[in-house]
Amino acid sequence: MSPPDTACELAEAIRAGRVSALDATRACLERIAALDGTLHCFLHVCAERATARAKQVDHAVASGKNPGRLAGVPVAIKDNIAVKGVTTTCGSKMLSDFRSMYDAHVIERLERNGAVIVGKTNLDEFSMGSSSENSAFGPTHNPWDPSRVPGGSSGGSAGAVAAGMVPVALGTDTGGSIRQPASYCGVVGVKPTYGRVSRHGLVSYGSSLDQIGTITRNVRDAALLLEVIAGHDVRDATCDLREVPAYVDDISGDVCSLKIGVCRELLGDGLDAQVRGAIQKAISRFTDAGATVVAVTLPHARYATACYYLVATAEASSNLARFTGVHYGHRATQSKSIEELYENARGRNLGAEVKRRILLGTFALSSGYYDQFYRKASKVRRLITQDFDRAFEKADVILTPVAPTTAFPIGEKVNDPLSMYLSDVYTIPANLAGVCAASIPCGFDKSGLPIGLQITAPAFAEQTLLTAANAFEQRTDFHRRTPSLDHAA
Amino acid sequence: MADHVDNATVRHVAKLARIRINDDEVSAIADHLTKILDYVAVLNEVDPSSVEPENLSLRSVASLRADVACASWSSERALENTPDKHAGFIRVPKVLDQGST
Repeated sequence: MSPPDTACELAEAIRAGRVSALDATRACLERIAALDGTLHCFLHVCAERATARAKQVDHAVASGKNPGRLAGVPVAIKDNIAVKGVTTTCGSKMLSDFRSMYDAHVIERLERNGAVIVGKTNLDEFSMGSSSENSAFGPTHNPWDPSRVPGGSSGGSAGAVAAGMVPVALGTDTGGSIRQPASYCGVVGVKPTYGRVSRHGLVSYGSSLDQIGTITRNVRDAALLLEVIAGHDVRDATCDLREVPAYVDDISGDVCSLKIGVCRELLGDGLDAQVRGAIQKAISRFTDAGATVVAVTLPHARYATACYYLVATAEASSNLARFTGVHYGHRATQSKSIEELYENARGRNLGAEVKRRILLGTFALSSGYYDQFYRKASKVRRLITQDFDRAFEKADVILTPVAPTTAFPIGEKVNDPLSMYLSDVYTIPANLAGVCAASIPCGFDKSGLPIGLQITAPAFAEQTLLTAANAFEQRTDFHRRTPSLDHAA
Repeated sequence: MADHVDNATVRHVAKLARIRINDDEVSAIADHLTKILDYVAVLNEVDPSSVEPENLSLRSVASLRADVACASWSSERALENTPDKHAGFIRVPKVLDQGST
């Protein structure tokens, strides 16, 4: 009998001694070995570390101890999050040999709760991309159709969960990097509120936007994983002091009194007709369950993508200044001066998209342009935040698409970065406003590719977000469907 | 806002960002930056003069930790990933001319 495929059930079975953590870990490692040659979700599999860890969990169970809420649950980690003794490459040639010297806060939390880290997943270099094609180590393929992208930048994590290689994974979301791949791969992706989860040990991209979150097969697992990783950490000054609610215990509520905000202007131009149809059906499912629809408006949401590409790149130009190959990373040989050393190391080891974003950000911050670009964008960001404040006076959650289309073919947008940026048009506003949002499976297009529904809730209203998502999931079976993977086995 | 970014500007910005770019990359980057600046010009439709800039990172200063000294890494450990080091130091090309020391 194969181990249960959700984290909640698996941890329970392992704690009860019905399944061994070692068997569960081995089953994952075997599936990764069988499928990853085709899908390339992983940059590094830590089989030995995982096996040793699983044995510890089994030993704890045998000695009558409780190994924790994620007892023996295999977890995949996006490769921009530090795991001690394991490489953290960020999908970049610059860091291909970089070995983390400490664990990120979220890794400490996971392992303290009995989780087993099985490997590091592929991503767009330094999380800069929406397709996982910008990895220096080659693209990840979508388990539903390997000729298509899994989305990005957390494409490896979303693909690994969708393909059943692991029950759950961590990703990071700066402009949609958890939700968009979750949508393209038919899994559940949650971007928590800015400040809900410590970023100690996460390689920074856009520090006022970045957030670590979860990728899972169902909402209950997302609640469990979030409950474990959320909460205050003194090592991240942006991490909030608020207590973490018991998400798992309280997600089963009904949605009779829930007010669903629907924003008509986000269901118009540029949205694929099949995606629009699936979103409209999803809204009906909520009203069938007793929820009330209220019209809300986010008048500045149409400026979010422009705003984001100034704010995020400006922050990136500063954050990525540390990658010079001097303290760590690839040293540029044959450089005569320190300036030449920096320029050569960065010129040779950073990819094209990363260079473009650093240059755009440097330009937006440079003398004479700061007010015109960065300051202006930061003010528009305030207007977007105020739009959400007003919308949430009327509605408890807002329903929108996650992405304008389903997964696109590999190679289709690589030569047109602007069109790639526009695939994040629905997800970016939540990062700018710092609110929480999730992508949950809500249908399939005619080609059998998954469609995601985005649910957005106010800052620190993860409980409302997860309850709404769970109520929808209980009334549908989209999350139960799995890709055939005949092509990969 | 719709500025045209020329090759000289790209070279200047690349210098500021300490990134060497090849001659054959320059016009492609200039073209890309011009396109993006054209796109972000949509922000000109908005008048945000009544509001202050938003930065979420500044919201939670209440959670700053106490300024207390605590254990740190040894220099050996801190330099584990350093590609070129000698006796606990990072080796780099000469910063000063020998004549000027």
